[in-house]
Amino acid sequence: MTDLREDPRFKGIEPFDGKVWLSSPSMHGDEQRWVDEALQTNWVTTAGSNINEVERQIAEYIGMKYAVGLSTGTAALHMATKLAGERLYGQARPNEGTLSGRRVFCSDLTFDATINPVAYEDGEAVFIDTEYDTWNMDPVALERAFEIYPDVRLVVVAHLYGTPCRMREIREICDAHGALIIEDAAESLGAKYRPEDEWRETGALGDYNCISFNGNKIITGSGGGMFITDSKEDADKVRKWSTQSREAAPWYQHEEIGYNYRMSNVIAGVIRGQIPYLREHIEQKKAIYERYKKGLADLPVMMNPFDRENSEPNFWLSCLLIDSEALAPQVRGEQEVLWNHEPGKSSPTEILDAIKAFGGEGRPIWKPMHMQPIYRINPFVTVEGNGRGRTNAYIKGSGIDVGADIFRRGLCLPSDNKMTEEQQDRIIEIIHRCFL
Amino acid sequence: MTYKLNPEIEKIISPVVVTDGKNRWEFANGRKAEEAVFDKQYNITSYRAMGDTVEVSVEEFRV
Repeated sequence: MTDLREDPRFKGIEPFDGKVWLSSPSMHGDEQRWVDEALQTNWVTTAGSNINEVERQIAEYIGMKYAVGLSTGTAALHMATKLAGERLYGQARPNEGTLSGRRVFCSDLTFDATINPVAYEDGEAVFIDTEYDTWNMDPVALERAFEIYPDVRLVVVAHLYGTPCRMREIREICDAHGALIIEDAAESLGAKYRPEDEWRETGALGDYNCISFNGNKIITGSGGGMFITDSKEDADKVRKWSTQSREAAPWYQHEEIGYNYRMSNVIAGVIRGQIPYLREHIEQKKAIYERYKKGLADLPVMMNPFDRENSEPNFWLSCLLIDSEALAPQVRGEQEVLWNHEPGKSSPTEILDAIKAFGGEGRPIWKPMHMQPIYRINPFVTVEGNGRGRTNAYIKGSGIDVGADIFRRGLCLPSDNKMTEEQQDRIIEIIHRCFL
Repeated sequence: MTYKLNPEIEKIISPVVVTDGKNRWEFANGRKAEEAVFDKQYNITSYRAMGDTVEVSVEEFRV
């Protein structure tokens, strides 16, 4: 790889003293108190006051009745998926998932943790293409999907990079088809959406809702996740499943398959110390987004968009999308990438390489799930209908694939809330030099 | 960004001075020091008795 620091275009730019991260944890001091309390009181297990308190605080913050602390956001998504599967299709045999032989409509442009629980439950994910307005599930494509697969009763939607999806439209479509919604709010804790007249928190918009406290999230416990619900029955069921499904017998008796998914009281201590700083983190992330937007306004790029009227993102990651006509050549294989510079143009990989050369950390946009090797045989639906096999040797087709296009032209910028304005200005300058 | 010191400091019942070598912050006791909010993240590096006051040395933490 070319050493971009030797490239004359970047002359005069100094490397960062330390690493400028994509999004790293921000500890404030309160976390130590609650972790110490857990250790000193010997509640070093999957029960304790930290768990009780974070469940109470998060449920109250999101405006739902119950929050169940789990080991990861992925665990929360698995529990949500299993609950939905049981409700729709009944209890499964021990060696089968609840979605065996069933299709589930899923966000396509997302991290694979959104989708994998469908496979854990033996279901088949049908990927729904993305819209340019929010980079989330396209309601029009979802409607097409119900035309093709009218038997589907479950939809999994994610709020990409902290930007709420068009939940109002998605809810209307799902209600019309009798489908349940699993809301993956792992990236969007603190983001708000207005489905009707009142604003609601993401994590309160689906039939089953999940958040994450993974290490790079807006607040973190190093790991951890939560299942959010208004249903006491569902909350109790997730508490049972996540602690190995033990029955109320003197011995270990099991009538259902269980999981070791419960949150640790030590992890909950870190989260408890983070919760008071959620709004502060969001304000910082928003300032980073706005600074990029202003600093990059003269380039042929746009920031990751959102519905300003009906949503307030948490701005977890700032992203940019290069205009099609300003995209320099870039070829991605399965694990390698090649790019070439052209004056006045640039590519995501060139920008990522340049940022990295000076000590910054960016990241490509999530590779769409329908393009992932593991899911290449799964159905994919666009606004035009079936997104697979629409071309042949004689018919070129429209090639509509919004997720693939955003993956091709987009990237995630360093969005760490400890990044200084000077550091961010240097990132912005590096990006400008990429287009020289 | 706002930060607080390690909450162990609240166990000091004597007057507390927190210093990073350049700045000095005086508190009536450890609890008051624990409640203080700083605009930098500090780690405590040492405690030292200075008469009836405990001097707490800190250094800025950087990722």
